[in-house]
Amino acid sequence: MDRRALSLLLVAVVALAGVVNATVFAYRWIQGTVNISGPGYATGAACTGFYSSADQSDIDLPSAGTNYNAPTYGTNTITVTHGDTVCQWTAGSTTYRLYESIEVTIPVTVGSWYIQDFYGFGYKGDASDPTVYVYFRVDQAVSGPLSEAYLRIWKGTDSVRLDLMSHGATTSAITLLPGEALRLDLSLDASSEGTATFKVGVYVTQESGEAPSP
Amino acid sequence: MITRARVAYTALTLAICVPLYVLNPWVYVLKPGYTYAVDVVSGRPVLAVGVECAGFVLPAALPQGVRVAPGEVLCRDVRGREVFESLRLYVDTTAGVWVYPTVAYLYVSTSRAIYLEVVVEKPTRYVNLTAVLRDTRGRDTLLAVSLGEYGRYRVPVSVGSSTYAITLHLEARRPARDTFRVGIYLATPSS
Repeated sequence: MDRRALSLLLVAVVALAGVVNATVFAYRWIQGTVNISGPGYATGAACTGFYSSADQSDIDLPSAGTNYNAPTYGTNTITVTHGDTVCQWTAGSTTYRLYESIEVTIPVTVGSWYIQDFYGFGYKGDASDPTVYVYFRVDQAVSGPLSEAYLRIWKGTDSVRLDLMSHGATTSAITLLPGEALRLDLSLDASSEGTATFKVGVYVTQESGEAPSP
Repeated sequence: MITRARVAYTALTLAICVPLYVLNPWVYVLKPGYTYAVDVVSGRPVLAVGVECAGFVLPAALPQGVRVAPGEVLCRDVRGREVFESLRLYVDTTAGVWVYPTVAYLYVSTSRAIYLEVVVEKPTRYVNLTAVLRDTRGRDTLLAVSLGEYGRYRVPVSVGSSTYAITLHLEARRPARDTFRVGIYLATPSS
């Protein structure tokens, strides 16, 4: 066998191996780049979050969350711990913050209770910022000794009610313009002693009509 | 008879052929349509992978903060939309939890039952990211892929055309810049 024949054979064998190998998979790919900016850069739907105008006095948003530390009975009070800051801005020498989440503890006794304006949910922005649409959804239904529980969400004098006993229940879209806010009330009926917990997700979008999918 | 010269020549040939062999599958698999292999016995081409058309389709409107640069056009889906071989996805946002519904569709049209293998080839390091594939017909979740760790997910795809919406769930605690890469392999079930 001369040199040329040997090299041709080698190429043929390798090429065949290549073809056979290649037929196993068709390949597609996605390459992604994610850029996360700090809360000082948040605008539009990103600059929405929980706040209490009683906790952060002079905040440039409507009065809401005035009872965030109100007493319920005896020496017991409502306590609110908040999650990360998702939007912040400075006015004068004060930095104001909107929080991503809140965890609220409300000590009550057996019976019916109405907790008014325990926290607010606002949208900070300029007139040029887009309208946002807010959906409240029960991500985790009430577990514990409650026979009835509703979250009432107020915008001005209008309100919608969310049944916290029903997992997945979602409000219709609540429209917020920059500078507007919602007040949150809770109505509950405790049948016996114990601790009740639930989780409500707040979904904010700049695109109308797109409810959060399950 | 093996001379010194011939040995050297053979080694050189191999060195050239090996890179060819490595590169060849890449060139080959990116072609749309049927993929054929040569039957060793008869010498005739046989159908190896019956993926007539598979790739990414862009939605009519992208969510706020998402930008997409598609790659090569491979074919068209049943609705006449362009099907792309690859996607470069850019997400600009602020810290928090975000859901980006339908950043793209994965479209697969096949004449044979195949399976889809989703491989996280380069996971994110700073942000928590999950890609959810949902069947646009039944709205059922097909697969949730955590893009924060290396992983391999295999799901069967039935005969016909299927469209899966890709939704991203993003959770970022602090400012960061991150990248990820996901490979999607389409293959006939191994016997």
